[in-house]
Amino acid sequence: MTPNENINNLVLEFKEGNEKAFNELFLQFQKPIYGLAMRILANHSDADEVVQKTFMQVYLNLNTFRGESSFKTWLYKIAINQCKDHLKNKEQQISKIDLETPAMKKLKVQSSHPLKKIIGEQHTQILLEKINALSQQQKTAIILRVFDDLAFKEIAEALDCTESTAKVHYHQAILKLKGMFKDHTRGELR
Amino acid sequence: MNCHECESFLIDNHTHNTEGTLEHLNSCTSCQEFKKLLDSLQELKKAPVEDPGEAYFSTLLQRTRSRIEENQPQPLLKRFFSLFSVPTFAFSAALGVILVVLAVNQIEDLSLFQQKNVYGSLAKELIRMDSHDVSDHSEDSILDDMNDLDDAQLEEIIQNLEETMLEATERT
Ligand SMILES: [Zn+2]
Repeated sequence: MTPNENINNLVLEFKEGNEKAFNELFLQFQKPIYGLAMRILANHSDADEVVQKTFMQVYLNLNTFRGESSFKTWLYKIAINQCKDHLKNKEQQISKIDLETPAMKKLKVQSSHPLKKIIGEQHTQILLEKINALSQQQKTAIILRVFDDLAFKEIAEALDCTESTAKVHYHQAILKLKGMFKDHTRGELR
Repeated sequence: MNCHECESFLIDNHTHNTEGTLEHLNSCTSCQEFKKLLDSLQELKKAPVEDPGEAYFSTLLQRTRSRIEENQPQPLLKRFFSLFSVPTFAFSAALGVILVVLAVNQIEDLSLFQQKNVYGSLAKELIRMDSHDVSDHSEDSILDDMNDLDDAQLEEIIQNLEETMLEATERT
């Protein structure tokens, strides 16, 4: 059985009343959804709240899931909407990627080669800063594509837009980042 | 191949190149930079998010379950909402019929206030379903209204809805 078939089976079993199937779905997806929420919200307690609310919604609404998209994209869509609601509730504006999370510090330490370490460190830091400056749609497209390996079709479903629009968000994000890097390098040379 | 075509290709096929893209890349610094940025993003993937630790994940399911428990609709209500999983057109057809049937017979035992609540909720839900994705809809408002009904009343409404929707689905 492929992983997708397995997930579809779990969804069916849950719809038929098997509560354990929900637990299995939860355990399979809790870490990716936590990761997604952390990248968007950059705060553990916010991410924790969003993960719980996302799965609560999944539990209460799974009977309305018609399988037109994959379960994974349906789940991501709920999680993204929960993140948006959470941000709105907190009256935060566009989310910030926390540049100094322990995870980032760990990454810096992990780079073993001294030269690679310095270059990698600066580059990663700058890149994260630049991603942070993108519009929310562009940023989410980057997060879903790069960190969650979603196909454009899946990103489109999660963002509620067409596949070509999702691709445009991503394409423009890359072009914008490219432009930002150019400005950055020019600034350093000056 | 022009730059836009090359960029589009790189976005879709980041790991491998065709002869055409290689040729363009060799002569175009702009697209080289574009590709370099895509490479950098792949590197970024290795940046892990803050790990809350296994202890956190080992209790997450249980904590979420407790919250679901607190917010879970009654079994009858759960059945009521499962009716919304059928295609909207069948639901619309069924709703039209059921409203007439219910108005005349089945729910006349309910207080006028309760009847109004049921119709109002169904209508609101229908409007919402017509314009939104079902996965986004919140059940809170409709739940509030339905909570005023006792189990026998609800059972009757649900049975009627189920039968009529089955008929409507068979017709369409
Ligand atoms: Zn070019």
